[in-house]
Amino acid sequence: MRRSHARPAVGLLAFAAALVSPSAWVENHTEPTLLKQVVHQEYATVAGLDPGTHMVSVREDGGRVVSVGPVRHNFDQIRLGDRVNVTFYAATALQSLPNPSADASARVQSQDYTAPQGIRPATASGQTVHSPVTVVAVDPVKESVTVQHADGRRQTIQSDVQPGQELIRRLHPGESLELIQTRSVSVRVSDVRSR
Amino acid sequence: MIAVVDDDEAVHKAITRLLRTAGYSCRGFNSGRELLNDWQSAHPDCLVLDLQMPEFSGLEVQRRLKAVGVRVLTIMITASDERRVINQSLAEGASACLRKPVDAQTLFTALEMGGMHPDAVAASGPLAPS
Repeated sequence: MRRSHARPAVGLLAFAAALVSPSAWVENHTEPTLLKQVVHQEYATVAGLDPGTHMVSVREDGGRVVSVGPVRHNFDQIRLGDRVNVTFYAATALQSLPNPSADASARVQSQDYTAPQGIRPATASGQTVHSPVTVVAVDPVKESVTVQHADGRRQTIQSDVQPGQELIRRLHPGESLELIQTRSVSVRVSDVRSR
Repeated sequence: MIAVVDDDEAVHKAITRLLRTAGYSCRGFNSGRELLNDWQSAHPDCLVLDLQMPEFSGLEVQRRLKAVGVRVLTIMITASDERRVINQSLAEGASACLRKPVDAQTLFTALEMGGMHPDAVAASGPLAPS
């Protein structure tokens, strides 16, 4: 079995993972390095459908209600009571800041994905926040880095993956970086037999 | 090698069968203790670990390995709705937490994201650049 560096996910999560992948950052001439990524998957039941906005409310088996969408294709194939697979994805990456003296405010990038027509209904929506930060401390033993945001807030990130751990070992306090944090949720109809 | 640990033998057999069919090498364990006792010989690259098990829970196994400096890709599986334990496991380094019955596509995605690729792919040479 081959074990390699973490790389972008396959399937429905690919669009979210692409937000922290090198190809998304050609404009900056630098590549983000992945520090950690997490997947959390739940089963849920469709509890609400809004034909006006194409938003879907799903109730997880644990009781929590999550609103997702818009589902741009195949919305009319989704029924109240359908069983769906809800997957949450989160990733954190760092990249060097091409121009540290530029605008220090965070910027937000949103992206949606909808499965093409003709296949099982699926949707995903994600948001990526890019924040300029300064390295405050590096802990090579815990493989963590503490960064300070422009508003003074501090955040410590421990890396779970090899590329991120290697990056952390090379960082120095005072270094200017861009912190990239992606969150997404995808919903895929998992049980069509109940129709 | 992927170690699949679940006190429900039917579950770990089903998951190991699924993974072998997809080209992964794997081995099933009936408990966290069995995994820890066989750790040196098994030496897995990845754990698919039931969060709720008698004696050692998945979280306890994760903590014991971490305490001795073992870092391994960990995918938790659970039938429980106890969100606190799920979040704790993710906070302590698990890369994924998947609800039972385990969805094959999501499991494969979690493995790919962790850098685990089937033997069959490795045998045919490196992946083409994406």
